[in-house]
Amino acid sequence: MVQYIVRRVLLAIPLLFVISLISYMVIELPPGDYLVQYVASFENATGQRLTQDEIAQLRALYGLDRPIYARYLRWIWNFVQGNLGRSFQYNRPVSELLAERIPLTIAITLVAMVFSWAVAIPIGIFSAVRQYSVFDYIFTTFGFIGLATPSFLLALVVMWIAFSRFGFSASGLFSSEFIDAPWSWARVLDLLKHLPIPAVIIGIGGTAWLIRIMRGNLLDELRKPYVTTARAKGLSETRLLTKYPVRIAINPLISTIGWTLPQLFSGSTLVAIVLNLQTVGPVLFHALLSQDMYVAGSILLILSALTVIGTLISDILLAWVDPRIRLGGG
Amino acid sequence: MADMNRRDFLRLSALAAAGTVVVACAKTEAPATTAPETKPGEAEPQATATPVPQVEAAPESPMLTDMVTSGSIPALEERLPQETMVIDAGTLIPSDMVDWVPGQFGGTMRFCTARTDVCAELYDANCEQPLIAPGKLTAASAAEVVPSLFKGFEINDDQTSITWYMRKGVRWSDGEPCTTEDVRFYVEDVAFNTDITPTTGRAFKSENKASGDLMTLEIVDDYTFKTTFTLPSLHLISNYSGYSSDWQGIMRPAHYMRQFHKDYADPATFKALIDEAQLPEAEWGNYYLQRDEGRLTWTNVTSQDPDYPRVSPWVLENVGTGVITWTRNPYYYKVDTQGQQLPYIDKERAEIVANSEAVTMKILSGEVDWAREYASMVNYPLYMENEAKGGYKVNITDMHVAPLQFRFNFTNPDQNWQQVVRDVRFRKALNTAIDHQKVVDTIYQGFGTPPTAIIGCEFDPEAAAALLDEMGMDQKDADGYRIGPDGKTFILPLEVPQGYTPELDSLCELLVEYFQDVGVKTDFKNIEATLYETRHTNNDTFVYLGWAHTSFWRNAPRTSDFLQDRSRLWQLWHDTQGAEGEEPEEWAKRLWEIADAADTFLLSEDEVAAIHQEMWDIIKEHVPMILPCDNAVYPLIGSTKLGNVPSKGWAIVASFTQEQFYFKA
Repeated sequence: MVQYIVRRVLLAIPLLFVISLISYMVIELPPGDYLVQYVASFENATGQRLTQDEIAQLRALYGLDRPIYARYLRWIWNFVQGNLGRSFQYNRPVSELLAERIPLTIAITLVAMVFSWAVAIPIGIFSAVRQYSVFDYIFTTFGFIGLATPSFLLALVVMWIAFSRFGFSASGLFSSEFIDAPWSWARVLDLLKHLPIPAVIIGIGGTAWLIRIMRGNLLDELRKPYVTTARAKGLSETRLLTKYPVRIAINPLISTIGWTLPQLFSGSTLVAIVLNLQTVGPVLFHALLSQDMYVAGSILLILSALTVIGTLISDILLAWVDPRIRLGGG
Repeated sequence: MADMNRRDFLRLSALAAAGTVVVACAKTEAPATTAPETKPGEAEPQATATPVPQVEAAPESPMLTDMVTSGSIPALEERLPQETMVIDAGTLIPSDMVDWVPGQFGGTMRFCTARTDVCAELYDANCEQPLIAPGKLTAASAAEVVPSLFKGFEINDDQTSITWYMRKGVRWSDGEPCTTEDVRFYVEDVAFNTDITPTTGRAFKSENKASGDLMTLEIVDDYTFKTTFTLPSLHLISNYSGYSSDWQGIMRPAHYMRQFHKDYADPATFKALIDEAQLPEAEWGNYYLQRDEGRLTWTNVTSQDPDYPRVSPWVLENVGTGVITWTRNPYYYKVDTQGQQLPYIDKERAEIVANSEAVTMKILSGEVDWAREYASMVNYPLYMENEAKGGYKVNITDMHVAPLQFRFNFTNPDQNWQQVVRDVRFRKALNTAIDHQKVVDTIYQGFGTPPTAIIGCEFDPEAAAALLDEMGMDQKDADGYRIGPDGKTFILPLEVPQGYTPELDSLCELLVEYFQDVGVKTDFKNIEATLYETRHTNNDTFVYLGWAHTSFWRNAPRTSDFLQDRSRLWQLWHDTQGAEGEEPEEWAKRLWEIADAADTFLLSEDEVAAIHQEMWDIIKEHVPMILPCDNAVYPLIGSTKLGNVPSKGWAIVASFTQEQFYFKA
């Protein structure tokens, strides 16, 4: 087991290096750079034209005059040392920017995750056990609708209903007066009041999907001979279910932890933009749009690292939960 | 006239103007030009001699009184300059645009922006102009300019040098005096320092040209300085009085910035600072720029340093995740006729949201007190529907930019394109094919006018078709589209940057219909904005779309933004004075000459009027753009609780007078 883990960790290092190279290239791929956009915006706003010299000066200020490999090396070298660089757009260190937003992002995603697991697993089990009952049909319908509705659209609908029926803007994580207030009980309460709507909206797609998976997996298991045997031996229905088929049916869900980690970090970007949530998602989005390369590069690299780590964790968990997985090579 | 080159033209006009300006100066009663009448040091200029009336109302905000009581700032008399600027009806904006009354103190103004670096309303509020041209976007001549942060100026006889008078006793927001040392520091130690500024900008060069000789600065005393150019140049007056001009174009808080400047800072401390910023020592200039928040007036949301001294009505207080707050500057130099120190409003607070729809939502639910940048005519019905509920008022005001004006890139290397688009009949045909009134009605809710006054083209599809036939595009392909000179179907690529304005897509769809009706095949395509700009730099675009500051020209021609300068190679030719690029057509060259001449402020009013008329004639004759609509408007949204809000004039100019806004009780 230890050997297995060590081997996987060592393999992750070159993988991360390749990922960093690719994500940097992707960021640099679009023509132009941050300044092109900045200059256009400045000229539009002030009606003043910047001269070529002034633009060259700004380019040097932002270090954009260096060749691409030099910028990559400088960035990755600083990154390894824990300096994520400085955002052009926000004029602040990237680490500071992310530190502000990561706790909220994790909070909101965790709530959404807990919500979807708590709702989806019992419903999935119920639907499988009572296959083709009225409730199964209702949940199946709900599941398909949930799967088919993009969550940002749901967010828009909820926002509009909240505004037109109840007259409040359902956007943001805090009321205006608390946005910048220091942490206090009142602020926590305010956050708790705002958290359910985004958490449910973000969680709902996942919930529907989890119900379908759980139901399908469990149905497969329920038809297996060992279930019949157990039942024939007189095991109670509940004990039978929880002890064997559910445990096995949950295995595929564990493997999804690999993607859950990066999601914890970047959240659901589209929903966050629509609902105006102060999470990492919108920062990444704006950084990509404006070619704020240190922000975009850092987030992408952290996301990739989290995916790699998440996959590693889910592999280890699976190996631990499911004795059928072989740890040796080949 | 056509044989005359630029330099001759300017020299001649300068000579002609020299006399007239001096005469004009001597004649007018305008406060700015009272300076020449008064010999420096002899008597106080009139604008500042007005005594501050004594009234019962508290002269300062209760917030500041508390600070005085607690001892964190000195008393009001010690904070105000000897030469305050007294604000009366009509001082900041003509009195027919706002019913001005003295206001009362208190309150927080709430803004909302969807950009992570810019809050336009906050920029408007804190753009402190050295001089102003009340109610105007830019002044047409020095005669229209009145004092603001600076008390006045005096032009010498040959118009090569300007003596500037600063207000005595004005202080930075940290209480330090604002003097000519701040000007000297900025000009000599920053703008002329090659470590910080590798190439000095053209503002400090003769004739406002990149190739011009450097300006010389002479410090006369603590409040008087003199700028001298080798050739007649008055562009600094123009630079310091436009709507977006700012104190940062002429000075910096020297006492504060010296600690980040290699020539002044303690070497050991300074090295530690640079190391901390992880910059090589040779790049100390970049470190200076990072610390110099004076350059961040436009990208104000990125300001980080609450200690940075400013002269604006409000100063940075706190930067948070989604909110920044600016608080009143206790040393602000303007007082009203009752002796109350401006601004009336205590704090300004900008909330940063993720998208423009969230801004709209906040406007509708009354969570925003003042909105200019994100207010759009497209949402006009929505604003009106919720006006009472949201507690705001929508003022329809003039827009300082033409929202949609398509300019041709006459220099795209495609020869077929050049041949067609350089034929004025083609440009006229396109403009004639547009049903302007319908555009105004459907896209701009009936606000605005057809652009006939500017381009002279009226809607007439038959005339448009005739023009196209006449220029030799009378052959059509199987689908009824006209054949170009190369024998293939001619295509007009209407490629425009994405997300430019909300109404862009629907307008372009209308245009495609109108152009195809007269047989010009049109491809409308949205292109990602950065890609679009890059293509433009590479001379790959066919049609240019960017905010056009056409409205500026209503007052006078300006160089800032001209019709032909988006033809990439012409633009290069102009910027490099013929060294690169391609020589423009005569009319385009002439437009530049006109604008350059007007920009120098060297001409008399009559001469400005003459070249102004010539500019309109050229535009009408050569129709260098596609102009679907004129006199665009802007819904300017202000809380019903706000007082002294202008209801007329330019939206942006109104937004610049926020120091006299107040919250009614």
